[in-house]
Amino acid sequence: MKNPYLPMSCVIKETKKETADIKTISVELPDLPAPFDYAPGQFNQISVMGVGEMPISIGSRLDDKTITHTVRAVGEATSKLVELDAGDTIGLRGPFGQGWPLEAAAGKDLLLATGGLGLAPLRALLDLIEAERDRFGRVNLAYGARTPGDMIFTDRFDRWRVIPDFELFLTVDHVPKEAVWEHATGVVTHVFDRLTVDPARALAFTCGPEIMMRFVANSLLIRGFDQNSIFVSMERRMECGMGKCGHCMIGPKYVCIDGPVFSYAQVKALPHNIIAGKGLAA
Amino acid sequence: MVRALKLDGLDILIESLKKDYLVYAPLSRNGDYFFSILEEEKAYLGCAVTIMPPKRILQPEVQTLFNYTAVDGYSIETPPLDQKQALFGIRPCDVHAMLGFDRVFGGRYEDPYWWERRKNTLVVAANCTTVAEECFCSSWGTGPGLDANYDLLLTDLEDGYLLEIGSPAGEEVAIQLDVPPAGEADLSKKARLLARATASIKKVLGVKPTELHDFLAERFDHPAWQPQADVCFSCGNCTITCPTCYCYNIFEDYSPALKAGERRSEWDSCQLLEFARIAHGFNFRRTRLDRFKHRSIHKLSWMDQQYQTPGCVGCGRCVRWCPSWPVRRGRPTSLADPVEIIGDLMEAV
Ligand SMILES: Cc1cc2nc3c(=O)[nH]c(=O)nc-3n(C[C@H](O)[C@H](O)[C@H](O)COP(=O)(O)OP(=O)(O)OC[C@H]3O[C@@H](n4cnc5c(N)ncnc54)[C@H](O)[C@@H]3O)c2cc1C
Ligand code: SF4
Ligand code: SF4
Ligand code: FES
Repeated sequence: MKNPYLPMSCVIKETKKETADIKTISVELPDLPAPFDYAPGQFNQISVMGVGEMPISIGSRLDDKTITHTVRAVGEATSKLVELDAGDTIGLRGPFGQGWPLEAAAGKDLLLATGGLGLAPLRALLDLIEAERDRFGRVNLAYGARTPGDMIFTDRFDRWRVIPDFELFLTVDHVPKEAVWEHATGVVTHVFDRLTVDPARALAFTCGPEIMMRFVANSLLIRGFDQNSIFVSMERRMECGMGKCGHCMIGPKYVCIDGPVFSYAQVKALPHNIIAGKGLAA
Repeated sequence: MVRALKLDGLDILIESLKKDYLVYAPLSRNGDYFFSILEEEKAYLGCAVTIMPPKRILQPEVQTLFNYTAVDGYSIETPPLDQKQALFGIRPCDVHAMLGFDRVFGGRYEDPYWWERRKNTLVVAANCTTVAEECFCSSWGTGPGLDANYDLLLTDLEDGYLLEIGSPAGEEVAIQLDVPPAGEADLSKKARLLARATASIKKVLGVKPTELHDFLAERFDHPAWQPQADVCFSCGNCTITCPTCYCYNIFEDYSPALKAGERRSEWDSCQLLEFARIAHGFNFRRTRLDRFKHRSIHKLSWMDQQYQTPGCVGCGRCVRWCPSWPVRRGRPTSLADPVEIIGDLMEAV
């Protein structure tokens, strides 16, 4: 019997600082019987030896054996992970979860609305849009951050801007005095007036803090998006990633195996979340 | 037809089991019962559920997932789990709970720790011919008698024991016993005793299991939840003693000097504050109300939706071991009691 608790040893090939506390880590997978296959929106359980495991979204595929993860230091394990450098070893098991609904998205317009590190779980999808542009209709990426310095993947912005029928809308909450900023200010929903996707034939994918996803979803519902066309990626405490340890449960759903991506309609039927606002006692 | 034998006493069976298996049985300790390794003491087969369910023998409170050294990447070693063991005197409700664990630890990601132990475990179940005050297995169809999913099944017939054989592994044990087959009279006596036991169960869940999903979904915001949650200690007794609760943490014990560590799993409880807390301290079930509802509805509806197996088998442990009794003066049961929870929710708003 295969043991799904055992991590594979992977060597870090390269690290790149994105912001003051966010780093992108390229890891080389060991030789595997079949290529490591994952769908945009899925995650891996990454181990730092001596500290523990954490769920991290899978980013880009750099070559057959190398994939990226983008991590923010927020606690014990993530802080240790961002301290690691090229040559260090981590553990990895995955991929886990249900990613973005690519089949439903075929031929549709796409709105990707996200904030801060929430762009990381959309990175693999953006790579796919670049590589297979014909699979989707018009694409809008609305990306917000606290300040310009809190944006990740900034080196990709120019590449994304030249994708045909692709609009990039940037916004920040606050521009520090010394910074130059020629884009919008305000929360991410502020750029929604300028969207060029057609709500009647678009899917919206959003990822970020639940309160942000709540505002995004509400704003899109008002603009004529259907509840079955809005998809959110949810974060819950995870231990196993396999629908067994119980930690990621929201009502009868497991975020690790039924999600992390859910439709707004699905979330509306669930308790204990902020996105659709049901059943979180004060 | 199931082959059945008639035993005068249990010693001959226990001696035979001990030859090939490490035998666990309910043993009496100061008036309560524990599943422990059976040595010289007498196993208790009267109906009184053990404080801790036998899940701890198949999924220990803390277990090693693997040991590793971190010199050149992870070099991993998993523990051997080949001990042959027998669960002697496991009750029908606890057998049903174990079948639930088979679903949780099966599926797309099979859990090798559970299945290695499970394959090496002989189920020597015992029907309940008498029942305790807290039992309500008949509401779920999980007792007091067991129809299948055992290797051997005992019934106390008062003038001896009926031993039914349910699998080839059970037959291997039975074949070594030099005892006569049971007669028609023994089998009809068993049926009579189980009918009497069923009739003596006073506790009944107010809503049929098949109707619980809708019943609870409609009452998610019922005012009866709050007063119950107000007197809940969030101690986790109801989940730790529950035979169907499976939740656990994964944690690490590491020695930097040795560059070696161990990854373990450890039982956890959704009633504890940290259970649903994520980084930055954000907690999706911060209040006792949200945690109490999560546990209650997971037991009574969601687990069945997830695994097509009931999340409660009516064993009564949470009725007995919830410490809320003195707080809820005047109520003859604990606030964790599923029958009580459903009863309160049946009251019109
Ligand atoms: C599907 C998914 C995808 C994600 N993708 C990314 C990503 O791409 N990039 C990224 O940076 N982050 C991502 N995250 C978030 C990331 O997993 C968390 O930030 C990370 O787990 C935090 O771990 P930590 O040890 O640093 O934090 P800590 O706060 O130190 O602890 C981690 C977890 O353990 C629990 N915990 C800690 N201490 C205790 C204790 N004493 N008792 C009980 N519980 C405790 C916490 O509740 C927390 O959930 C993702 C999360 C999910 C669910
Ligand atoms: S919820 Fe209570 S009665 Fe039901 S199986 Fe668990 S401990 Fe037993
Ligand atoms: S009631 Fe709580 S501890 Fe028990 S299985 Fe459900 S979530 Fe886990
Ligand atoms: S992370 Fe363990 S059940 Fe989802």
